[in-house]
Amino acid sequence: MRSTRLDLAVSGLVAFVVLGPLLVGPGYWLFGDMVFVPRQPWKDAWLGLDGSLPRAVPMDAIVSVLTHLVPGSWVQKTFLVTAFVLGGLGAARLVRPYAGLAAARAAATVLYLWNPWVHERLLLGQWAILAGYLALPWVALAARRLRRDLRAGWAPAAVALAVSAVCSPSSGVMAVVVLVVLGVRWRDPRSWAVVVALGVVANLTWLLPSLTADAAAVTTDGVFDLFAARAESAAGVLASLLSLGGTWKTSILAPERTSAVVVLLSCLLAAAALAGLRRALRRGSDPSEVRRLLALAGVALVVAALPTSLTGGAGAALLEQVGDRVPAAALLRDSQRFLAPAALALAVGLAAAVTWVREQVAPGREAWWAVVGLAVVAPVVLLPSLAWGGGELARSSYPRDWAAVADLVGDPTGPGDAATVVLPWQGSYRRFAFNDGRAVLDPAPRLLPGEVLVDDRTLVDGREVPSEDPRVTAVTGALAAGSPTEVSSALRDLGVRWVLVEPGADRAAAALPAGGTAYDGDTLLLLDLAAPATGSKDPAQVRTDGPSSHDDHAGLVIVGHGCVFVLLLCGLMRILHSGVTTITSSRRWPLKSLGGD
Amino acid sequence: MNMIISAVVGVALATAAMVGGVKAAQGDQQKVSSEQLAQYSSE
Repeated sequence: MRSTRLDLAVSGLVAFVVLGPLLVGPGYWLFGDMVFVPRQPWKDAWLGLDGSLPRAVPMDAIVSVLTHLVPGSWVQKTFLVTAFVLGGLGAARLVRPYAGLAAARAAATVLYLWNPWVHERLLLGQWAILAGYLALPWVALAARRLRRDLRAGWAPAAVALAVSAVCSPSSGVMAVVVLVVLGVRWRDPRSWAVVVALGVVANLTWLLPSLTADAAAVTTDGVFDLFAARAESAAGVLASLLSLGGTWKTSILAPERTSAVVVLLSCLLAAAALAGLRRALRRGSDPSEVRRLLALAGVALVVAALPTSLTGGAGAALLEQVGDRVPAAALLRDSQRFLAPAALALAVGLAAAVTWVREQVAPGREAWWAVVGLAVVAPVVLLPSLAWGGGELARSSYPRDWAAVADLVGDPTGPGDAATVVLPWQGSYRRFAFNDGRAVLDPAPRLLPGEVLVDDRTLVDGREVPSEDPRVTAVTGALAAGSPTEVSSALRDLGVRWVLVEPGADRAAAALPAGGTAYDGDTLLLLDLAAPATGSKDPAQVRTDGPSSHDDHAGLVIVGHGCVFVLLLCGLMRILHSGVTTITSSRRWPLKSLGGD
Repeated sequence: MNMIISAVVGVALATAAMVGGVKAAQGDQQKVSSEQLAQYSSE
């Protein structure tokens, strides 16, 4: 119990140091993809029922429900802090069999919570993917339990997989890979059957919306090369990846990561962790798990490195060929994110390494304690930019204009199913003065009720990744229809009633669709194109050449969500019923008792 | 032995703190012009 309190204290401290600016006052963190709004209206899209590609399904649904109970800023704070603290606690529990002292667990916890991967995902605003990463130690713990006892181990595995899949599709996939590599008894068909069944059911929440999406076309053309991991410094891409860095988005890099010295010192830390794993392999009580962890790290590294310059472009070309035949391969773009499972191996290895260092302390060699201390603080010293949100992430609050516009668009007396187009029609990221000019995903789709259309074409290094929603392409055409009246008419034909003009768009009448001014505030202008013209196409039908079929699939998608919910519920009840508060405790189930392959 | 260990730890810590700390203190996030804002993207 005392050790758990200590682990909680370390995790809580790290969470506070990283998230501090968000926690010390009211307001939101709004940057990159991190968008929370005061109250997120419910939409079918949050569950993937509208036929669009599920990007944040069902996380958006959860956030929407929660923001109806408490303000969105509380939801944001709670999600991030809980994920960080539980992630650190999970890492500490995972390494317990390898850690001979509290400092070893602390070193592993700090490394897991404080590394370039975490920094880069946080600054990308990918909080749900970050939450999935922080769930991985619990997946690994469940895998350990499952390998020991298939019958008793399915429940924690089910819960861990379901939570991961809820976070994001890529998190769900990573969790399944971790469970397979660490939890399957290779020669036991029952073990395979259980893991595969759990993996499939847990991921139905996004799998079914993906398979039944009739409104979108996945683009894989050139995306693997565009989003490939990159070298952060002169040390090269491999050094970046070995130290858990290498994001494609160079604009969010921590300044110190551009130094080859820092990256190479980070590699030294990784090398120490690998040495620790080697020692655990030779002297540990469960060499099988260590081998599996090494294999997991290897797989993660290969996937992350595949589309990079390390393969001379062959990896990206291979992925594109696969993507042409299997659109789901698009999930592998931004491959660096799949480096996450490697952090599990590094955390375990560092704990083992610190334990070895502790064993070297003897009269006349007390200075080894300094090495122990160095291992604990090294991740922080090597990445000071993660402290206090990078020093640049101040909180923001939405101006009143946003609430006023949301009220108008959501007026229940108005016509239903009217869509909103957001201008400027140039990408989906904005710089608002109220947000200190930080780039953030347009909050309109989450703040406004009804369908909100934003230009989601992606431009990276001057190359355009086209929108995956044909409706966006249709709006692009409508906006180029000619005169304001013609544009207005073309938009109405697409089922658009409202045009939200945000800062950055040309407010001259000649540059806007013809329509009445519904709201004219300091920062936002809302145009009412009046009700869609008689005979205008149903918004859903514009998406596809033929009649939309997503209504037919909605039932199937709901069944999928229901399956995941039931799985989660059954897993939790099983855990509570059997009193498995120690599902991950190595005290009751020591590692040496774990079954082998 | 203590002397050697302390020296190695000190040098490693000082190097990381000097290089990383100074870089972090000096370097702001790279700004992207408004014209290129559409290039911001992710998954």
